[in-house]
Amino acid sequence: MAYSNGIFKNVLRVSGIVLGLLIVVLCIHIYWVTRPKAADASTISMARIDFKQPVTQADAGRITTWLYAQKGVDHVLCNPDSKIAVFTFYPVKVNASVITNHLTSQLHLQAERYIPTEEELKKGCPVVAESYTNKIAGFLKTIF
Amino acid sequence: MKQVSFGVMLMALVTTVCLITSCSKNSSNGTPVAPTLYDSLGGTVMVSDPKNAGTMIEQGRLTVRSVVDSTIFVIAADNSLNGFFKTLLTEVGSGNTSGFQALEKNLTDFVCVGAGAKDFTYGGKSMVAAHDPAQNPRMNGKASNANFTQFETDLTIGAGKNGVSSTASVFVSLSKIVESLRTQVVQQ
Repeated sequence: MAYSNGIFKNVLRVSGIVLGLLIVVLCIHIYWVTRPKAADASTISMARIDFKQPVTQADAGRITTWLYAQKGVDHVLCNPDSKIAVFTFYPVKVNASVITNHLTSQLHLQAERYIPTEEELKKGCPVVAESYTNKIAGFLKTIF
Repeated sequence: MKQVSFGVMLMALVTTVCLITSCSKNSSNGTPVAPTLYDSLGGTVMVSDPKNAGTMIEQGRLTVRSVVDSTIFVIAADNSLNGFFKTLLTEVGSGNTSGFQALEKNLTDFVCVGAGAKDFTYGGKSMVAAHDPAQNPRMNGKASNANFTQFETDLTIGAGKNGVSSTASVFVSLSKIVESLRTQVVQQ
């Protein structure tokens, strides 16, 4: 009886150590995979320009053509009704604020880049998977 | 005695597993599977991915992603809806993925799964939970019927930009699936 108790305790201790090590490895892996990283060649972001003046269909055409001609810009849509232009771009190739400044000066349009606040980014539909991994990652981020 | 009992249990477990798997194989071989909407969109045929040189993508997913991309652009420039999607404008975050890329991927996964794709999963909240401010603190208010109708309008515009007419049978089927979500999304 004492012999089996000793074996049982050893099994428990070893299992506990192995489990602890596995949890540590998992945490490190999750952090490594989900930590913020710099953009690379495949990263593509979206930016928005709000125009502070009326935008005609002709203006929308000019804006669209101009944006497509900029290096690093991938896709463009200009909505004259909402006076908004959105475009996707490669952050490693171009800065969206620089593009916006050049657009306003070269096309002589009153516009500014719209950047949502931190508070606004916490709201709205992210359509983000909230898997167990993501929840653990979120917890780890509070630590690191 | 303990060894005999353990052996019996192990045999019973193996037998049970074999019976279950063989039964499931028999039933799946018996009846043909009806084509899904995802099959109509191109299914699992592998094609080159125009966005990622050197990689392949299922034709069905490529079709869905193209429509999702275009729709995202329409929504982002639509003041009646873009307030719900400001995360689109976040730059690089976790895993060097931008808000646009994250939303594109997850919307594409969601639509693919809804259309019957088997090779993708959607791990987000249900539509009811995702649009209920009490269950999802990101929702800064309940969506209205007008919001949902505008979403469908923007989806139609996005599909049109990819040459998918609003009267095309695949789009009509997709629209029915989207419309079926109205009672889950609209909670006002």
